[in-house]
Amino acid sequence: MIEGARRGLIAAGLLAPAALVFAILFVWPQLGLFLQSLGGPPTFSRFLGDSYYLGVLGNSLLLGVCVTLVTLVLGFPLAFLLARAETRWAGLLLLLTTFPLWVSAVVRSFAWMVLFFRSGVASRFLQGTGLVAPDFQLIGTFAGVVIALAQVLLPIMIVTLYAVIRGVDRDLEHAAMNLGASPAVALWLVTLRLARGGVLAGSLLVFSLSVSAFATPSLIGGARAHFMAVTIYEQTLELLDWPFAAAIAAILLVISLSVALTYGKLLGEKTR
Amino acid sequence: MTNSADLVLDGLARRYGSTTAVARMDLTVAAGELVALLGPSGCGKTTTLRMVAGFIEPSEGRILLRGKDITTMPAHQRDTGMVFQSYALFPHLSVAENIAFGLKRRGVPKPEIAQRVARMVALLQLQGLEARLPKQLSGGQQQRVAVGRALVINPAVVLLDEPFSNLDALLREGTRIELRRLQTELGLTTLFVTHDQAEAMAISDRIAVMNKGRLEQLGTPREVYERPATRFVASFIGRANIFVSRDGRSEDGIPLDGPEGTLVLRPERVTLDEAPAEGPNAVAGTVDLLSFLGTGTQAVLRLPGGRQLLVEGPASLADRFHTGGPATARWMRDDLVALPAE
Ligand SMILES: Nc1ncnc2c1ncn2[C@@H]1O[C@H](COP(=O)(O)OP(=O)(O)O)[C@@H](O)[C@H]1O
Ligand SMILES: [Mg+2]
Repeated sequence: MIEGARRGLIAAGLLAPAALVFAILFVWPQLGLFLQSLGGPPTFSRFLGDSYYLGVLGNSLLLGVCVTLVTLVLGFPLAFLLARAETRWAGLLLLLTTFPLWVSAVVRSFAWMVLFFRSGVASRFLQGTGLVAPDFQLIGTFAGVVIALAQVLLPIMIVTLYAVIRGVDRDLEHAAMNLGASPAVALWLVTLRLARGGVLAGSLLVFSLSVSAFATPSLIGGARAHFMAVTIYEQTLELLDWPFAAAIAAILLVISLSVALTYGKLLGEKTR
Repeated sequence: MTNSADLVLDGLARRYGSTTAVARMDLTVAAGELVALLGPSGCGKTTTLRMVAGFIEPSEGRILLRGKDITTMPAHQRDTGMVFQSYALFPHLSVAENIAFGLKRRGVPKPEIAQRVARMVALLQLQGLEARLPKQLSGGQQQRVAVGRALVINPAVVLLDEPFSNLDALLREGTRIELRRLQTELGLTTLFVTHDQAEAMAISDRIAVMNKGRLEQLGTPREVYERPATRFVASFIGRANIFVSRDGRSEDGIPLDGPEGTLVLRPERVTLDEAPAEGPNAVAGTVDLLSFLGTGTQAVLRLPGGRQLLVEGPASLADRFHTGGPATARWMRDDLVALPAE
């Protein structure tokens, strides 16, 4: 009994600093934000009743899904190879993949802009394939934003997946192959099943960072960047409608949180 | 013997950079035979087994399974059933699903899968545990699931990598007897890796003794024990007193009546008495240690030259002699077994 109480105290003590910081720097401002959104004319109904704003929300969610899928598809093979590489260099290679994170979002976006303008290499390449109009440019397009965001978020996906795949015993893949599964089937039935937690965690991180991203969408998306964070910025600094900006922020938070909770539940089910 | 060779290793070798994990190994396992790969840790047993399974590419040599060259065949197309040292059970699949895994990959019809899994479950006494996950099983149960998963596919050769090393002593002995019974009943061609010589002696048809990547001797348990081919085999399989005999004397001056060269004298061949040592094959010394083993007594006799002579005798040795007291060791001419010249 006393032992249990002591343990509870220790746990509370260990949690207290983080909880305090979280409460002061996150919960309290968020509450303030929420209260602010209630001041003045109805804001939530304005957002939810306006097809333009719903479109912005849809755009942001679609962006999140696209970036998550792109980073997952590109990141998994790389993370798998790094995790299974029998070389001392694997750690260094992993470090190399995180380089995009070391460069400021503004600098990185400017670099992408150079490539994405009508005369830029990336746009030129697409014009060359004949799949797009001759005057096509990636700048200002949804695809351009997805590419630029995927580049910076890919390392987060890779690092998350790498850690989880490393944790899957290689002999499990061997056992599957020994029992007649081709390497691809072994990967699907064993490694991917066991790395599911990592896939979900990586997706969650990338998704939430994508839907709330500001710098890359506004720089690459330009005037047509109808995304949540950009809209919040406009409402706050250009239109000075703080209650409405606060409402959009609250809606974004609720959406992100519900995605997080759903993912969390899926994660929980995995460890039955 | 008209037994066909099921598994043939032909000059099989594996190098890692400058280290040789397995050096040009020749080994034949007959149909229905259990061969143990025996040797100390790091001698290349696992590497050999994994080359057969197809997880490690040989640097040299060939592997034939039922007459077919499988050296370059991908692992999943080879017909081998492996039991891993750590079992490698799929943690997200139930016992029944683990056992059914190989059958599913082979496209066996569902009713037959259920039937064969049930038979394996019964054979390995896993009834009632079918729906459990591996982590909900004891070590011994996990081991049986691993065996069942490998056997249910009727592989051309069963590969076992130290399958008992994670079991406690009591369970280990029972399990290895069970496995041997199963292996003989089903007529399974088996390659079995162990570092435990008692285990290898107990259940193998033949033992392949390995040292530093090299196959030192291949023979029945009695052959490797009674006629060891090398000094290493003599001291690794059982215990041995080793003399180098020249002109009727050992290197430390003990008079020997036997062949010349390197000689092996097994401890159980040595008798102890109180009479003075006279003539060859007898030497007096001081009892350094007497340990009662239940089935007998083990004695260590310190000889004037500094050698510690190992002796194993009846339990009564402990009554007749005492630590620090004198004793004379004796043996017969036939007890001195010469090693082939190296
Ligand atoms: N991937 C590897 N890289 C380098 N050396 C290895 C590798 N795998 C095994 N070895 C070496 O090969 C030798 C044999 O290893 P192993 O077959 O695992 O021995 P055993 O199973 O008999 O204990 C050891 O010296 C080990 O260090
Ligand atoms: Mg080993």
